[in-house]
Amino acid sequence: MSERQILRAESGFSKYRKAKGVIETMSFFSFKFLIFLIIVFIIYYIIPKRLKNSWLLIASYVFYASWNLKYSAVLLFITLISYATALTLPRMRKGRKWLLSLGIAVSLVTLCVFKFWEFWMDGLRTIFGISDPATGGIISIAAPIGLSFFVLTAIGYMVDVYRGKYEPESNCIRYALFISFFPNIMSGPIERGSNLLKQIQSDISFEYDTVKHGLMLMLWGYFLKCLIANRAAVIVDAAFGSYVEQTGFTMLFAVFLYGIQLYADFAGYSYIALGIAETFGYHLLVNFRQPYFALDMKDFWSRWHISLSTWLKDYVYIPLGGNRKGKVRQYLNLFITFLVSGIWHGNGWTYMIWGCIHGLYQVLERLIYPLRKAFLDKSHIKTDCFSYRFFHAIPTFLLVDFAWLFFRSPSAQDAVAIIKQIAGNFQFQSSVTEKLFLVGCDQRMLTILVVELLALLLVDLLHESKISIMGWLNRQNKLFRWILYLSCVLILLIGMIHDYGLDASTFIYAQF
Amino acid sequence: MFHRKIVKDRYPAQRREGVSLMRKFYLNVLLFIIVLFSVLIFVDFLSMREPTRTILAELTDSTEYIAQDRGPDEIKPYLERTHYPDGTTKLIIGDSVCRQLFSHLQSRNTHIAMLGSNAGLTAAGQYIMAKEYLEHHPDTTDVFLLMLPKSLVRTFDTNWGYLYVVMPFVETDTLKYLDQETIDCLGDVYGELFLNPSVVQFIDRSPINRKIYLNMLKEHSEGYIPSNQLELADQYVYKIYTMCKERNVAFHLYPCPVSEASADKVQALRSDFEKSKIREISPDYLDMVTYYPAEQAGDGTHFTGKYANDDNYDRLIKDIYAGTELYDMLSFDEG
Repeated sequence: MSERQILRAESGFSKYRKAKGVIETMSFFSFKFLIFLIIVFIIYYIIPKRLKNSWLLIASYVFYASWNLKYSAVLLFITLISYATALTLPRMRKGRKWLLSLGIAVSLVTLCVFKFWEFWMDGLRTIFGISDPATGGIISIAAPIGLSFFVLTAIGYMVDVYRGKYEPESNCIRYALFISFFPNIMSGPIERGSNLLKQIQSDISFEYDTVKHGLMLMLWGYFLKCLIANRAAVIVDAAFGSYVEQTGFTMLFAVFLYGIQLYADFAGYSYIALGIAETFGYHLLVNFRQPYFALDMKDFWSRWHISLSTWLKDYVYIPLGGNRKGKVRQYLNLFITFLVSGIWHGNGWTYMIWGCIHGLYQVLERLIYPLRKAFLDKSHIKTDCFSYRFFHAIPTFLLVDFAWLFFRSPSAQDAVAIIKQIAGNFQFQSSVTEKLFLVGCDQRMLTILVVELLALLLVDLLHESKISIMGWLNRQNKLFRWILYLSCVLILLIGMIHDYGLDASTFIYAQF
Repeated sequence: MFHRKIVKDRYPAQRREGVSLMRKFYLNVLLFIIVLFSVLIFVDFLSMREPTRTILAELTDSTEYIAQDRGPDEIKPYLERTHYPDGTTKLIIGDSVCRQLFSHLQSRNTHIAMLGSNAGLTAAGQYIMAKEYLEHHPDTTDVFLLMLPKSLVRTFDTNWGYLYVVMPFVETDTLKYLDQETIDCLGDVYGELFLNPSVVQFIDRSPINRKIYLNMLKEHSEGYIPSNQLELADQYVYKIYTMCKERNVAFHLYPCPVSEASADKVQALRSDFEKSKIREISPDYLDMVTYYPAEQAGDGTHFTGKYANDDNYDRLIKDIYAGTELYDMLSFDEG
């Protein structure tokens, strides 16, 4: 015992507690993560090529264990199950389907046990008449972070090997890295063997432009998350938290902002993940392509959470029969696929309703497609102009945003109550004149948010027009580029200090 | 090994290129970090000086961190007053309710130094105030400590502790008067580095630094958790008492009036009080607490609205402290 400790033990400071120090988990915002990333990066490019994958695997498990050490076992379990299943599949002549089904079933059961634990426990409580959730010997467990994402990656890989798309990976380090790669383990993108695993199998060497591009992507991701999403969250959380007291206009504004918040939050995370991966020379699947510029719902799902929608298409919609078994069956398959998407997001009814709404959108869109096409053909309406895109993007956004209302609401009853509030208690004038819609924030914060949204709009417009910002930047003088980079970092830092203390730092999609 | 050697030498040109690109990257990153840090240091320097201080505070939404009536800016004038050779022989110290009740009587009581300040100081801060006053006023006859029960419970928290305990006393080099284990404890709660006078100045001058540090503190520290509610008060009120005793100065501890809404909290303190050293000094402290209707205190602690006026304060003092040494020495008449 040191002298100081003795002194304290003798004094009254017996139950003295130490400062918590740096935060326990390594979120993408923590200083701990920054140090971790720098160390992993430097060592990664120093060590021989044959050790790179092992090093990244260790780093990935360290990152994952920082969230919860015990859940690393779940990650390891899923990795081993899918690895063994895929490795055995090509060697079997009979029963391949059964083995694949077993591999998928084990993965899905693991997912369902953890993800829907509370749902099952609620059922048990109801059956046994336990009113207090804390009693009755029913324990509460949280799902391992990223479980939904790496289970889908593993299932996709097993199916691909079964379909003979590629050979199974025999090197367990490479395969484990494919499943646990730390940039995307938390919230995707949901990777494919044909993309990430293929890159892991190849030699990665340092590429200046790729690393630079990765850093730029990270900067953009942090801008989206830390500035736009967190600022929008202030209004959204306050409005949804007390919707009974809000006017209809306020709630409409909050629902609109939620659409923006979710996009900035999830796309922000995805850009950070893509950026980190690129600094290590890996190109992850692009997850977002200006989703709110979508012209219809089909287009929207080809731009929003692309890795999930393509996964659902390849491993749910097509196995169900896709569009090969007639119109009615196609519509049913579409509906089921979106219902699965809703269930995947969480065990609440709101997610299921959200999935059903999107399923209905898809079915209705296909039903009216012949009429729409005939109308467009007959009326000679130009479809490759701004006005056409604008007047299609707006209703698409409104429909998507309507579905987000269910996604965000605590319960289906709350969502219905909010709709009633919007329809029956709109109070436009008082909401605007008395600034009631600025719940939880001030005029200045809204102005900053609007400026940031304009920046987002500009970048999305440039991307939509296939203009490469990086390409343009690379053509500029170094001094100009550096001033721009510095300005971006400074704006980000000032924005982060501005919002420091607001409690909106977690990623929305991390909960799924 | 042989195979590896062949692979190693297969693309020497590309490897050399890769190494030179990596070197270029590290150099650029290093240069960028140096430039960025230089800019950040310059911005931070600007945030410590007007007019850029206000502009940057606006930009970073840190204006509330430059409020002149909070933390060190609030406490330092009181500390300076303890040094004045003002001819006073009696001292009143205490929390903000004490200040509210007594400060208007200063002009009518020139023999008393009325230095009621803020509960954020904690009992430790009040001890430093008393010590400083006694050092500079050898003719002192009485020291009065007037605090709400909930102010006695105050400890080194992450909300006000740094602003009210560390900053003013580090900047005036008076923190050294606290016991070493208290200073160690402050170091553990707020970080030892942040007890350094230069670092305190660095944080104090810039609203941006204040905002970053105080928010980080809230995120990463739990504050000091005492073994019982009156632990800190026990230690430092008792120290004031013994210090006064050594100098033949009479020490008096009285409670400030409490809103009825907080009556339960006062009673909840009783078991700890019964075991405390404070009870030895002032056995009637808790029984002396006067409760007033809750509507008189808008914030639950201070008199607000029509109750916040000097006449009401005079009436309250006469009601609450009648028959005490405090009442006897006070003059309520002008001139």
